[in-house]
Amino acid sequence: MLTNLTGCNEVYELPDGGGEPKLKEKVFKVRKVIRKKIIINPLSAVLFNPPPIEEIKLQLQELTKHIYEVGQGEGKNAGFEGGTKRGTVRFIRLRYSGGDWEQDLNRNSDLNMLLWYAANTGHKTAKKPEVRSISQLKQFSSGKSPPLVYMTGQENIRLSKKETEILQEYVLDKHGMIFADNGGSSGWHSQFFSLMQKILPKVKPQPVPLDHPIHNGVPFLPVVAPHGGKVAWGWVVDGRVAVYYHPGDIGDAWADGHAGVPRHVWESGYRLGGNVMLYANSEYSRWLTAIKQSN
Amino acid sequence: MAYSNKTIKLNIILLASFLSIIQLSAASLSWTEQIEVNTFGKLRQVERYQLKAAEKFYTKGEFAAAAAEYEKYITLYETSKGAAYAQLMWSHCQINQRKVYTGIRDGFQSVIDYWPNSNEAKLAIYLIGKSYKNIGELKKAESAYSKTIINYPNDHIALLCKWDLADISSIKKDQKRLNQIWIDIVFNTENNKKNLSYITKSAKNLSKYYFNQSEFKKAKNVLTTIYEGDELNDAIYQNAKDAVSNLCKNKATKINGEKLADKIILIIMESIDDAKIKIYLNYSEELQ
Repeated sequence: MLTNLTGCNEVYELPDGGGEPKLKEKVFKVRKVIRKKIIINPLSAVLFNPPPIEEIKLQLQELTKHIYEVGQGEGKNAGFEGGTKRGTVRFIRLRYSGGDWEQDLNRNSDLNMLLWYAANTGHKTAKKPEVRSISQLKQFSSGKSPPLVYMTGQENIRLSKKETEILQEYVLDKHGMIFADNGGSSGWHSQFFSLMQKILPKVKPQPVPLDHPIHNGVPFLPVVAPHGGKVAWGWVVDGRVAVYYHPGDIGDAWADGHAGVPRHVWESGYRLGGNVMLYANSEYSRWLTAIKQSN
Repeated sequence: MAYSNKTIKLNIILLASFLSIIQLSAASLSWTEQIEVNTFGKLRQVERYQLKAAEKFYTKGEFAAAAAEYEKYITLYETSKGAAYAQLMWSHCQINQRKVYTGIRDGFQSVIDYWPNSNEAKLAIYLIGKSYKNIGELKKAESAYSKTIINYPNDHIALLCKWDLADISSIKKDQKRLNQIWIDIVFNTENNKKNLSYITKSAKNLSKYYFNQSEFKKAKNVLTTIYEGDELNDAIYQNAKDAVSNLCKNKATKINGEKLADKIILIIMESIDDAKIKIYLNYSEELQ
């Protein structure tokens, strides 16, 4: 309630820790351990059943155990160097006028994604996803603002000049990232691109390569239902992807029931979402660390 | 005798069709994807066959299969003269599969590391810049282009890099840097057949900028590097007309616009000889 009032300052902090900014598969090394037994003299006067000469036991050593800490920096446990003890990873959806910004929200799309992220990274996360209007983004001060906001819909995007400026400030000055997901129309695609033309006039959108760190091992883009092409687009500012545009309703894949798409598709959807979240958090943490060092 | 004539004709037709197929195949590849004729001439038959097999997949758009074939070439004929080209093409295959970072890191960079003196190394360093530019990593692109310019200052590829650097500056809306690059292209680049179109475009862009700033002398100076005589006057008119209308639209700059228009009229009048003026005046009188 309080946070929805204008004028209140909000704080977003990442959880502290460290790790590598990539989601990894666990790697095990299988080692056969052969235990040697003492051979007892069969001619001994004492009678008992001799045990088998050798006993093979499989020892599973998790190779990735010491590095399976997802995050950024050199802190202990999974987390971020630029984070704090009280910090948590939150999932924030943007509310804007003109369209159905709340698409799939009632089918727990954001919650499912946040839960998947928590389970696969070990980061401290918020209990519930959140919704903020664009003007509420202004309440976050620089260095304490969300690294990523999620924006979806399929109708219209109507932003005032002030809201456009807030988004511009959020992306450029507060080092934030927008994760846009086309919820179902080619109209939304063109509206979002023209919005970006206002927010980042000096940046040209480019197709994001499949082997970009933001995808990090995802073999293909889980385009659930392409509405605005089949290629993910990125707006790169100072070497980081500041805006990531997914063309095909990834929120549908995250939602309960997964819109009936095959398992491998919605699993990839979570993985891509997790990668984007992790990338945004890592970049933000790196930025915070750089500021600290320069001070 | 008749038989031998027929066979000669048939051979000529076959040869012509074979050559046309080769040309078609080469035409479908861009200049950064083609092997040098000298290098191709030095390859053994088996090596050529392997390259052709890979190229067949590449031109069909089957880049994964093409990459496998180029990789096979590198494994089998690592010391061959065509190995650098095969590595370059492998990188192109990665880029076409949208694996840009792999293409740069494991492909183009390998060409530079393993065959630093080859023509492909020159292309690779340029293509690193181009690939970074295409994915929006402008800083890295600028760095790669600068390296190319330093390593090959007098080559046509340096001009291409400068051209792309100008494009990056225009994306960044950095007019000062853009002007510097245009000046460099116009005044410091060798004017030959390959470079001419880029120099002309840069000269036009730079003169347009100067006309918009009401700097007539500078603009004319730029156009003089390309044009002379009547062509120069025409170029002044063509590149200044938009500037005149832009300047005249705004009240604050209207005087500058009118001054610029006067200068252009004066130049055009000076260039037309008296006989032509008389013809023109007679013609306009007749019309009235």
